[in-house]
This record gives sequence, structure tokens and C-alpha cells, in this order.
Amino acid sequence: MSFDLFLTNLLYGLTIGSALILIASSLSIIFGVMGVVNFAHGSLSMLGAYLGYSLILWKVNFWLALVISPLIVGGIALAIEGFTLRPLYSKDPLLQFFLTYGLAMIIGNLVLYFWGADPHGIDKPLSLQGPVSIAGIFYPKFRLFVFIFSAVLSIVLWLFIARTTWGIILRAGIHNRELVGAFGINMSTVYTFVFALGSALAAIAGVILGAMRNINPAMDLDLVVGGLIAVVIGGLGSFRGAVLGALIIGLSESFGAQLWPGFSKFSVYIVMVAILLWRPEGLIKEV
Amino acid sequence: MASGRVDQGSMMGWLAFLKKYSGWIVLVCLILFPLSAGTLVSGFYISLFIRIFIFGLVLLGFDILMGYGGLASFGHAMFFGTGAYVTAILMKYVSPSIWVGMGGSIVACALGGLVIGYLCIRSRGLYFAFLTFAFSQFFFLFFNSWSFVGAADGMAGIPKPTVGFGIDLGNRIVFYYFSLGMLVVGYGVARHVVNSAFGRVLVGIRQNEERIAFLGFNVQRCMLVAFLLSSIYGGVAGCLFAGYQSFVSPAVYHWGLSGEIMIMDLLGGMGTLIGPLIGTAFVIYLGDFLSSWMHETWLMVLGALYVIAILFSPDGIMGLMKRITHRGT
Amino acid sequence: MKKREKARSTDLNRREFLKTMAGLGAAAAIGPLAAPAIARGADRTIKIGMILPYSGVWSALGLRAEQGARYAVSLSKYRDRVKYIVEDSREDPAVCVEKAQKLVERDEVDIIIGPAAGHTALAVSEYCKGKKKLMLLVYGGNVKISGSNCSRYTFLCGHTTYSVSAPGVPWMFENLGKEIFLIGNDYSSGRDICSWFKAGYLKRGGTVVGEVYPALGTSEFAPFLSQIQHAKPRPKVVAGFLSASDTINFTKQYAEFGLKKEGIPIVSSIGSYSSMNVDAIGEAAEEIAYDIHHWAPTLPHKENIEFMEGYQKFAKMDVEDSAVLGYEVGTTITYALDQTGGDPNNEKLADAIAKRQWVGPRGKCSFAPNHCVMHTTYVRQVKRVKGKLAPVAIVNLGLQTTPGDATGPGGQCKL
Repeated sequence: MSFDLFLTNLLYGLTIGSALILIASSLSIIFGVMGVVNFAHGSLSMLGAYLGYSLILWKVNFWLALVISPLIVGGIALAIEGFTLRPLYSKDPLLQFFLTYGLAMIIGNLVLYFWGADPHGIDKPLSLQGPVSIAGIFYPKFRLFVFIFSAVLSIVLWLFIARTTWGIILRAGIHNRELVGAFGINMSTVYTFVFALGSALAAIAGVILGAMRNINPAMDLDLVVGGLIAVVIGGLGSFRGAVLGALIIGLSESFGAQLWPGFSKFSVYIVMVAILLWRPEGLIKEV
Repeated sequence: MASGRVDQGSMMGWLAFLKKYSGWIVLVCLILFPLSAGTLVSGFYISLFIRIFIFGLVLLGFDILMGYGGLASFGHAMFFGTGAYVTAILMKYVSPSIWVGMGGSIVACALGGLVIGYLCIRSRGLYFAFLTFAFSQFFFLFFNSWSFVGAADGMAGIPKPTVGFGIDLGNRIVFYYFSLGMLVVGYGVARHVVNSAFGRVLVGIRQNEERIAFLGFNVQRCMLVAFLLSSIYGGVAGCLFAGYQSFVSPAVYHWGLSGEIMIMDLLGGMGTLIGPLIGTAFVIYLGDFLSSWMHETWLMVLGALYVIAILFSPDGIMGLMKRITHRGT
Repeated sequence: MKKREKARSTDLNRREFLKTMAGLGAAAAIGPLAAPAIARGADRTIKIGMILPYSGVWSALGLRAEQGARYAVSLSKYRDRVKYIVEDSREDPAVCVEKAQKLVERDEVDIIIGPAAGHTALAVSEYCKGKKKLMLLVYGGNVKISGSNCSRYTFLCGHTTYSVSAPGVPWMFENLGKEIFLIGNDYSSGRDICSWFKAGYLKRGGTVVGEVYPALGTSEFAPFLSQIQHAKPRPKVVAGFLSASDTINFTKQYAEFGLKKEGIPIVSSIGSYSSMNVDAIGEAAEEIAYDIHHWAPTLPHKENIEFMEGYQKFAKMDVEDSAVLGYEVGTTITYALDQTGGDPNNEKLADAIAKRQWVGPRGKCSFAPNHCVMHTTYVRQVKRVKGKLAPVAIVNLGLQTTPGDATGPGGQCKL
């Protein structure tokens, strides 16, 4: 493979990876803190994408839509958490998983019902249209933005979890909820906050992905499955693992499509099985 | 006062009778059902029941693995699909006898179950679920692109199955009894396994794996046997499916099917064997009914029903029934 | 005292349980019984069963096609006699056949309007063949149905993958260039179309510079686009077929990669550049994107203009290709009923339909002996019309159909 081709695949692997980071990071936080595998994550992201689409259609600025959409989705997530997830916290995680499966069905079909089944595009802001040249390779500006955005987001979230008091509370909560409660901190509120935050982040991801690709009623399943694979490979509960997992998937999809064109879709699962057999609990154990 | 006591006695007697023989009563109804089809009720419902019996078989094996053993496999479609495709290929190119197909499916799924099970058993919980998911995706992607079996379009033109003894298995009512018979046999075997010492060890592993290991049981081997059993049940069911449908498409390997299998187990009541059967009937009938009634929005309603069911009866229909019947005692 | 209360409470609970069980039992019993009673209506009712996609990727097609058919019937004198029973096909062959069984055996419909995807259409067609039930396909453009699996009772009213792809080869060769790069989704339609393009080009002495088959649902086409960029000799046209969502991603990224600037046109098939998709793509498609299809919203003849206005008023939805497909099925049904004097007897209807010739929104149409529609095929280009991007028919390729003889793409049709 020529250096040119290698660099192309590397760049685009990072693109796919950074898009996945947007979803996987928020999914990982929700799991890490609440122990909930949120199957509805992709649907909330899709909802955010469609809301963003409608907002922009009503002449709202792209950046403003990027703020309003997650606020709406975060609010909806608050309601969902209060009414459906909260009663199940002490129960079998399998039940929680299926609850979110049912929620995903509901939200996904609500979107289909209200917006219809046609695929749409979200217009990129003018400042981010067109390509730049990286070492002689055409790289669209918007994808560069996505890469930078996801890198910044990962760093900010990581610092929040690892360095701030709040982050420490979150992590302590995973290990021993009662003890944290004994300190006078209401874990229920924390859970609600985390779920809303994670869902808002998913909405942002949806808008950005909608601009990068397109929005369609089937995108929720692609997103959540991709995100879950990244999180599982990286190690459930590990934020750094989720980011790493997302990058690995991106690169394996990109190089896989180049090296084995007929088997590009296999490459992700081959990597997943290989990693899980080698390290049954994922790559990184700590946060 | 006296009459009250007599009432209580006879009521108790009647209810106990119902409860004890409920399985037999249902079986008799199912046996008599096809006689009403065509006269009272459309022949379409025979198809519905055949589907329920076929998936009931899958769920019996699956419940042994997840309900009793505690391992939630999110890739069970791979055994159902393997059974279906192996049977389809054998019936089309080797012999239309359903026994050939079934034999092939059992062998294929046993082999697959051994290999895949061995690899997956080392993990637990969500990792196990995702590992099985990944393996099942392999199957899906492979069969989705293998032109020999028609790739994404699937394989059509599978001949009607034969069963020997001059019986025409292509007749829908005959197939109904055949699949019902297989379900009854399957249930008997599963019930025997679950009630045996092995079954109890399995439950023990689900509740406290370390303890069972300390007691000297080979946990990995038990889990592998459970996995193997569930894979064979899946294969037999897949065989029946291919025999009945006369075509197979990669949809039999789709992860949505794995999810549906899990839901049927959960909704019915995990770890009861009967529960999953009820869950299967419930999900299939409900899906059929809803999708006709509200063809645009039925998935939304179905999702809402799942959510409500999980919130209000987390131990499924069986749990609900237990709570209703035990409230008096 | 206490004993009596206890007895009462247990009685109550037993009663509750028995009521629940009885209720469930009654519901289970009544459910199947009630349905046929509702379905058996007045003798003069004509029941049309629809198996269309309402969930999943194809759902855009289902609703529009249904409205197209309903619109056509609403214009006829049968509108008060027709009853529709609509089922969600989920584009799963097993589900489609079950729904077909339900419609034919339980609801006793007169006509089936069939599913969208190629493999589901084939499965249902085989079932209807066995039941001698008339089936009109909205899309379901599987070449096998026009070939070896053709049936007296099945009519392909829309088009096949062949009739809206292969006929474009001569035009591409003469007008765009002799070096072609093929791209198609990795499934039957994508691969079939690319193989027809390849065969057509090789037969004329052209060159296939490269071929790639991205999986369905590919969101990043970079590895494929870089192959196009590096292909030698330079391709004069990039052609093939991608699904709606993939077309959108591909075309957008095509421009981002600078291939639009290089000026290599993209030619897709089956109307990939519909108004809806072009809307989602935006400027990236302008002038550079072509497709081959049997209809364009800009066709000027009066049947099309009347149809578009009427459909929009009736369905309150935009006109897309699936609306046209549904409409053509609907008019075929009403035409056939006219011929049989309102009698929904399937044998008579099948005979009538086979002879139909008409001018519809697509132009002149008729049915070939293999029950596959003969329609005009156009080359369309994405151009700006009244400030909006739309696919404009620029070339009329004449009447096309899918041959049902031994050399046809689907094999020999024996009717």
C-alpha cells in the first residue's frame, strides 16, 4: 500500500472513529455511572438529529441548533429516567437492558411517525464547507471539525470524570452507592443528571453526524450497535476504553474496506471477537 | 358458616384440579384445534400456531441457558439460522426427508455450539452477550453474501419435506401435528434436564457461581452442556422452520431475532420452561395482531407494551400468574 | 367472624383469577372468530389486500404507494365498493408470506398488491401462483419474476432493476465515454446492475477501469472514492447503483473528494436521484449526477401534470416515484374491472390486464407477454428548475421492458 493510500485510510479511519467517539463516550458514561446499557442511546441521538434538522429548516443557525437540540433531548431524557428507569435500579440489569430496548422501539418509531421515512440532510455551516489539503490529501473541513470536536469532547469529559470532585463522586457511586449516600449525596439525583447529560451529548452527536452524512429512520440502530461494540471492546465502564474502542473500530472499518473489499463488514466483528477472546473484559479496566 | 367451608373446599378442589392439569388441558385444546380450523376459524391460524411451536422449541433451549443457567446469549439466532440453512441445503440438494435435515442441523449446531460455546463460556454477563452477538453477526454477514444460498435474497424452491410412512408433511395440518409433537417431546426432555441434578447445579451456578465451584463442580463444563443443549434446540427449530417455509433468507440470522427470543423468555417468565412458551405465544400472536390492526404504528405500541410489562411485571407472565393465584393462600 | 372474612377474601381472589382466565380465554377465542365476520361484508365489496413496507428502510415507499393506489381507485366508479386491508410487510419474506396467507385465506381478498423488495416479491408471487390469486407488484422488480418465475397471476406494473438500468448503456457509451468505473451495493440489485453495465460496455469494446461493491449502509466511502481517484486510465463515467441513503452519502463525499470538480459524471439507476434524495444531497449533485428511470417529475405531458396535482391534493404528500408506482397499479385494477364489468374474478381480470395499453404519468405503457410492464425509460440529470434541484428527463430511451426469453436477465418465462 502506498503511503498516500495509507494516509487516506488512516485519516478516514480516524473520521469514522471520531464520529463513533461522540456516541460511545456518552454511552460509556451512562454505563459507567449507572450500570445501564442504554439501548435507546442511538434513538435519542437520532431524535436529536431530527430536531436539529427541523430547527435548521426553520432558519435556526447551525450552532444554535447544536445547543437547543440537546437541551430538548436532555429534558425528554429526564422524564424517561424518572418514569421508567428509576424503578428498575435495584433489579436485574437484563431487565434494564430490555427496558431500553423497548424505549428504543418507541422513540425510533415516533421519529418515523412524525418526520416520515425519507432521508434528509443537515446543511453544514458555510464556514465548514469545502475541503482542506492534508499532506496532499483532500480532507473535508467538516470532518476535520468532527475530529477536533470529538478530541476536545473526550478530553473535557475525561478531565471531568478523573479530576473533578463531581467525577470522583460519580466513580465512587459505581462502587458503593450506599456509602456515597451516607455522605449526604443523593445518588438518585446524580443518576438523573448523568442520564440527561449523556442523552444530551448523544443529541449533539446526532446533529453533527446528520451534517456529516444524512439522517434517516434507520440510523438509530447503526449508531447504538456501533457505540456498544466500541464500549464493549474498550471495556465496559472505562471511558478511555470507549474512546480507544471507537478509534479501533474506525480504523478497522477503513483499512478493512481497503484490504478486503468483500469483507469490510466482517472486519469489525473479527476485531471484536479477537479482542474479547484475548481480554474477556475489554481492553481497559480502569476508568 | 358450614356452607362457606364447603364452598371453600370445592373451589379449592376445582382450582387445584385446573392448576394441576392445566398443561394437559392446553395440550388437548391444541390437539383439537385444527378440527375447528376451516369451519370456526380460518386456516391461517394453523400457520400461526406452527410458528408458535417452532419458536417455542427455540425458547425451551434458550431458557435452559438463560433462565436456569443465567447466561444471556444475544446471538441465539445463529443456531436457529444454522438449522434453517443446513436443512434447506440438504433438502434441496440431498434428500427432501426432514429427518436428513434434522440430523444435519443437529450435527451442525452441536459442533457450532461446542466451538462457539467453548470460546464464549469464559465470559459472563454483558461480555457473554456481546461475544455471542458478534459470532451471530458473522453468520449473518456470511450467509448474506454467499451466492450459493442466494445471498441477501435467500434460498427459494426448497422442496416440501417428507417424513416417511406415507404421511404428507407438506400438508399444513399434518405439519401442525408434527411440530406440536416435536414441541411436546422437546418439553419433556427439557423438563427432565431441568429437574435433574444437572438442572439444579445450573441454577446454583446462576445464583452463586463461586460456591458451586467450591463444591467441586466443573462450572465450565456445566455451562458448556447448557449451551450445547440450547444450540441443538435452536437447530431443530430452524430445521422445522425451513421445512415449513420452503425458503430461507438471512433474516433468520438477524440480531433482531436474537433480541425477540430474549424478550419472549423475559416476558413469559425466565427459568420456568412454561413461561417462555407462553411468552412465545404472546409475542407472536400480539405481533401479528398489532401489525394488522395498526400497520403504521404497531412497533411503537409493541415497544410501549414491553416497557409497561417490564415495569409492572418484571418476572413475566408466569410471575404475574403466580402472584394472582397466591394472593389467596 | 375472622373465618368468614378470610373465606370471603380468598373467594374474591379466586374469583378474580377465574375472571382473568376467563377473560383471556374468551379474548383468545373471540379474536380469530370475530375477524372473519368483519371481513365477510356485502357481496359486492371488492377487497384489495396490500402488503407494503411501513417499518424500516423501505417505509418511505409503503405509504406513498398505498396512497397512489387509493388515489387511482378514488377516481373510478369502484371507489365505494373497494375495501382495503393493509399489512406491514417488514420486507421480510417470511412475514410477507404469512401476511399473504392471512389476506388470502382469512380475509379472502380479491386482489393482492405486492411487496416492495425483490426477494419478498418473489416469495409472495410463488404463494399467489399456488393459490391462483391475482397479484400486482408495486415495485418488487425482481428479474426472476419476469423470467423463470413468471406467473399468470402476477403482473409487474412498475419496472424491474433491468429496465431502468441496462437500457442506459448505449447512451452512456456514446455520450459520456468508453471508460467506466462501476460501483454497486453488495447485494443482488447492486451486483446485477453492475454486471449488466459491465457486459454492455465490454460488448461495445469499452473498458471497465474498476469495480467496487460497498456493503449496504456504508457511511464512509473514502476507501472507494480513493480507488476512483487512483484508477488508471481515468474513468469517463462512474456508474452503478446504491441505495437511497448510500447514494446521499456517496454523492456528498464525491464532491468533497474533488471528483465533482474533476467533472466525472455519476450515473445511477432506478431513479436514485429522486427529488427527495437530491434535496438531502444539496449542491453536490448539481449537473454531475444522472440516473436512469421510468419517470421524472418534470415530464411535461398532461397525464403526468394532472396526476401530480391530483395526488398531492388527495394524499397531502409530495409526489415521489413510489406514488407513481402505486397509481399505476391502481389504474390497472380499475381498468381491468371496467373490462370485466365490475366482476373481480381473477381469471377474467388477469386476461384483461394482459391486454392493457395506456398513457400514464410515465408516458406510453403496456404489458409484455411475460407480464412485465413496458414503459419509457429516460436518462435524467440533476438540474436547477425554478431555483430548486430536481431530476430532469433529458433523453428519451424509448419503450423498454425486461425480456423474458432464455437470454433475458431472469431466464425463460413460460406462460
